Amino acid sequence: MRRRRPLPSHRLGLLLLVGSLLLLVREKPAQAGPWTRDRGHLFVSLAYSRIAADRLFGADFRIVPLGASYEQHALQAYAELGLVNRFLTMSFESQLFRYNALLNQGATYGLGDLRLGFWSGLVTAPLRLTAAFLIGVPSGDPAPFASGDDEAQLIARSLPTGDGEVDFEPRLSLGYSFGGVRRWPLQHYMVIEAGYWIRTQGRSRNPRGQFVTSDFADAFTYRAELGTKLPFRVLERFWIILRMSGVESFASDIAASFTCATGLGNGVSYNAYGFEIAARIVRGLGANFGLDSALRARCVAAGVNLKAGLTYEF
Amino acid sequence: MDRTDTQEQPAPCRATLDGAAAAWLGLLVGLLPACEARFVDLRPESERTGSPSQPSGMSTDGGSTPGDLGEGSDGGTQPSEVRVAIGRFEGRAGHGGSGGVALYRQGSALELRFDADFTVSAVPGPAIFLTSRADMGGSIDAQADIKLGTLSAFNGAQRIAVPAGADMGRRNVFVYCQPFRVEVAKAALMDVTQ
Repeated sequence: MRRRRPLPSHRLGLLLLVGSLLLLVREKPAQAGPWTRDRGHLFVSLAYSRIAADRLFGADFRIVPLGASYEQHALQAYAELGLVNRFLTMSFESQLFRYNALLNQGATYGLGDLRLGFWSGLVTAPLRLTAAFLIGVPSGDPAPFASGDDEAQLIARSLPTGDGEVDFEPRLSLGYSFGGVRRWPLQHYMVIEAGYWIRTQGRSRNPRGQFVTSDFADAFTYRAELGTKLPFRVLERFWIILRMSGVESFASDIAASFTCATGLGNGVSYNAYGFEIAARIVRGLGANFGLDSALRARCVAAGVNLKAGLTYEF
Repeated sequence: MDRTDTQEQPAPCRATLDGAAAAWLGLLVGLLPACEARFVDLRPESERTGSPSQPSGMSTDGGSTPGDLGEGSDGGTQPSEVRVAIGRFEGRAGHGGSGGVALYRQGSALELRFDADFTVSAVPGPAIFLTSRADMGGSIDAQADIKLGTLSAFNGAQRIAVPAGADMGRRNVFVYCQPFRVEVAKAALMDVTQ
């Protein structure tokens, strides 16, 4: 059998370079983040998410078994509205409803925290670079109150629906879309984001039931996301998304507090991978389904976060 | 450092914002309702003990409870008072914990006293257990573990009454996040030779 001669290394390199350039020049529209919205354009999403866990990432990042079962259900709204072409898109993110439960003990429910964001495009070609400023508003309850006995109060206090702090985050978001060419028919978009989360003071209850404020340590945040679309009929309606995201708090292990498994409080950190499928159903209507799970974390439930939602844009 | 407000009743979350920030964000968001969460008790009826009370038998030094023996561990001791055992806290599962603790007996009454240097990580549901077990792990053993009450503060001197006979064979004190069943700090008590 005749073997094909391998390509000389310089020709292979040239082909790779040409291929890369072709990918670079072919930009396709992609979704969210660094792609600011034009004036009057809106994107809204309503998603349900659920975490169930009987383990948590402890204050020293090690997984600790819980003697209890924890569940969290949330209904989350997200919206982006273009106010000024390229230069100003406003985002709104809120847990409209958050339900925390310790099975056979107690549950709390109510409004969660919300976040407002202002996004401005710095660079639009050949890639997208957008600066954002996010403001966290403590609309959730950091220290729920129970009218029952002492134990009921401990349970309620352990299940906050918010972190009780105003916080700020400047963030840079880099986006790039490529593919959809003859040599590489798959379409992709890529997002890389980094932010500095300026945390202030959180509120909670001390063991006597009094409100206390405590300083929260700042944190570094990041997100890397790769979306892929297959160039086939029907399948072209789906984005397959892989994601790594994280929060790295500068709090020491000892300072991590008022957190337990709820992911709210000082010192919360995580590095999580995620998988999501986003589908376009008809016109601007879409749906998505995904999951996230932490590889390394502190003070969050060690469980898979399942989510499903509907989106609409025009 | 934690700071304490005098307010004890639940308040709308808007109260968590300060002055101009509250006004600005309130205007911006506009639709923020009062956001107190509701609590649903999922415990069996038999496990509920009724209305809220002060943490059982617990007081910070200077305070007084029915089980109070009088002087704190940093002060002088009455002649009939005997220090039975002492220990020092260590953090567990990555939590912080340090400071001394001692078990005192006066007549038939027992009391656990946390020293002024006591400190522990702030967790939402800190209960105090006296147990014969070296590790509590994620469970409460009704035979081995005696719940003494809840912490009254995350640091500083405080004392808590110990039921008569509860110290028999039990020499480990745990600060335990009871709702989530996680150890926070432990002190192994060593008997004091008289």
